[in-house]
Amino acid sequence: MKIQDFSYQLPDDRVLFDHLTAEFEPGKVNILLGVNGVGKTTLLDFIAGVSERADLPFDGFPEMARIAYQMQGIPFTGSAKVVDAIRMMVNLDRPTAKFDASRLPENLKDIANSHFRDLSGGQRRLVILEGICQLQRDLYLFDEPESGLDVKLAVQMMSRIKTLAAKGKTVIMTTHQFRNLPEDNVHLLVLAGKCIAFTGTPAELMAETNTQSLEEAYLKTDS
Amino acid sequence: MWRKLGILSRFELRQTWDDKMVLFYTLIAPMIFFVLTDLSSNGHPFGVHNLASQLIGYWVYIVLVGILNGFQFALIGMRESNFLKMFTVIAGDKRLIFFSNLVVQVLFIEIEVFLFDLVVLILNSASLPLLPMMAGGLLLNVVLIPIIAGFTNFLLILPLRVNLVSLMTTGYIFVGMFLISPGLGLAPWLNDVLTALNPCSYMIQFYGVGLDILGRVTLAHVGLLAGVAAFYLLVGYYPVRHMKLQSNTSRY
Repeated sequence: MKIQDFSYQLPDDRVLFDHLTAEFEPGKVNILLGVNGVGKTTLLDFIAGVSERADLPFDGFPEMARIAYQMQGIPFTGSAKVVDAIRMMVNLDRPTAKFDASRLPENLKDIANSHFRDLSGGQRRLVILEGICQLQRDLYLFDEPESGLDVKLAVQMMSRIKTLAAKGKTVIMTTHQFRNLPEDNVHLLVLAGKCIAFTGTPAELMAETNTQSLEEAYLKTDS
Repeated sequence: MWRKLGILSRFELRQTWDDKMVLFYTLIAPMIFFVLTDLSSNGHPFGVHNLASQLIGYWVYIVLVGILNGFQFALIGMRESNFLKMFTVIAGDKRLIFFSNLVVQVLFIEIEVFLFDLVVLILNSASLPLLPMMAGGLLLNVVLIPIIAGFTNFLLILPLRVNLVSLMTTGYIFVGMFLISPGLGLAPWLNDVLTALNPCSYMIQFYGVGLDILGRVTLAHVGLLAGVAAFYLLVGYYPVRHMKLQSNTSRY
């Protein structure tokens, strides 16, 4: 899955991407790093096909029906029940699939019949994440999935995302958190200066920047 | 495709049912208005003596407000909350979200019109002979509601925020309802022009012809209604195809 020589301007004429080229590795967790406003979500929108993507710069990405996309924000009204929301997502993916509360992971079983309005922000995010992970797609996009989660929930979330890559699925996620990032099966892409400034493993990034931590390495790359 | 539409419709139905406040504007408010004007005007509000004509005026209000509040606003709200974006990716086609909402709104508006008719039948014994007309109105609504959605779909592509759209539609309802008030005494040609521009005028004509209560149904009249319906169904499809999936209130 490649993006080649992609340029894009926002409606207010600011250039967001200037001849951006990026390659995402299949069967791995591809982590897109970058400061706020650099265009991570916009790039995910193009990859998902939410913004019209042309074949030429976007090469090898599956069609929309083969992509799962978790976005920032909670797209349900308070009246939706956890189990109903996930069942609906599963049935849109596989109309004949049976889904009930017993198929939920342990950390969601207690709230299976709760309404979204009765959940905390972190729990809501975890529910959406579970719904996305239940879909059987080729490419999974996660936009800051750990945002608003406590340390324990963030670890659970990252563990759930890693299982997708372990099954051979391709994952592209954006994040601002370095603490929970997996160490293996990871491909980093640093978005800075309107293009991809680095691609490689966390170890390669640290070696290239001559730093001891990923956070330090990222700050050096971005500057 | 049909299965996905059914799944989304069932989910939307549950969501809509839980949000009962919308019933206040589309059902409870006209019911209260009906009772008050009926009492204060000895059954002849706005000088309208014919109960059938009064009833159609209320149907027009229920359908228009139902479409605007329950349908167009719901879709705009889904766009702003990222529901539209996320579920378009999951369902594979944004038209499924649009049509599932339309199906649910047709059902809801039909229930609201039915309940309103029921209240009229209970409160006004003179309305009993209107029973066949009420049944006919419910049948016509199945066709009429999608046409009125076509009239108002332009709201989906306006690059405006929800609050501004809300203000605009309040004005739209006010002007639309004002233009059908019998006291205006508009010339027939002006009524024909309004039939093509004002969804309220269109609905009055549609019920009038469909239920044969205008007493002067002509081929030209039917042709005008069919032409306007075809135009708005076609034009109304454009916003469905080109509606943005991303929020208007934030970059994401």
